[in-house]
Amino acid sequence: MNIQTFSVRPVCSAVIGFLGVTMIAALFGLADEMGIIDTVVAKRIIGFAMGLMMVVIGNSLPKLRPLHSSRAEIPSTTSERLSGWTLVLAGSCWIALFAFAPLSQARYVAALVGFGAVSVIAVNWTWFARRAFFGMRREIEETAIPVAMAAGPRRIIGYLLFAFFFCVITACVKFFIVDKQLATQLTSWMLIVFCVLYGGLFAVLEYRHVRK
Amino acid sequence: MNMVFKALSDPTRRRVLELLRKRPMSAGELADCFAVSKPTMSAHFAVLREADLIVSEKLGKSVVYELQMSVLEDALLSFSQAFGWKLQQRKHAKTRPLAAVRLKR
Repeated sequence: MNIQTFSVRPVCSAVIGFLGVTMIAALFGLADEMGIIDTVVAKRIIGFAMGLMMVVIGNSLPKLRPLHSSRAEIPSTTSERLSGWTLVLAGSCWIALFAFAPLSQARYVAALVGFGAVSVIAVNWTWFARRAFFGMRREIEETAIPVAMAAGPRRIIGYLLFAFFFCVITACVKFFIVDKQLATQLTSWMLIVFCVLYGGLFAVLEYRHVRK
Repeated sequence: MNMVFKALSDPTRRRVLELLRKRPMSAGELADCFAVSKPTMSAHFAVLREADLIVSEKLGKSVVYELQMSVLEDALLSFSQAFGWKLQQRKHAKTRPLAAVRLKR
């Protein structure tokens, strides 16, 4: 069987976009902590950068094919397109909110939009996994077998999306909770959970890669 | 991006992408949906593949194509479908009287 693998270009651009925007947000967060720039300006720039990140990742999500599997009994294209569109719309909403709306209202609305987008994607992906892997009838014809994908880019996509969703959820929590001390405590715990889960994901993906 | 615009400029290629939105299809299945020769269809597939809009896999004798479009490319496709259709209508409306005159001569 001659397999033509997926192009690595979308993976590279998504990783570069994610790292670049995360760096910008982190730098402004640090500048705010050190008192170099005004908190309101820093929050607006961080919110704007997070929106931009959601647009960048959402745009390339259908090309990254995170749900793609040769074992899936239905094509994942529809779920991936829906997730991509959800993220792009939510990201555009964040950009508009942090550029134009008053910050006191923008942070709540942005948090709700962020939680909504993540929930829609979580429900959609769970529904897809249930249909694709757990006993639903095959709906497509025998000839229409999904195209195989290289293992290397798949692992990078796994790490990238895990880090991305962590960033979005953390930003939503930070924006939603007004009490700065409580928000910092909560995000510190989230960071610990993230590190543990990331370690677990790394172990699983690398073990599977070595086994193959 | 030029490759994407080039790929989306043709109505046949846009129709191929529309068909692939529903499910992955083999080259034969796709070719059956159009009244053009198989080499012409192969050329269309090559343009779409070069633009990174589709991916293919060879399974035995058949080649299976699957959609791989970003959200922006998806929006561009929908936009060009709507806009291209209007252009075609306008072009058709303009050329029809001329064709009728030529036929009369």
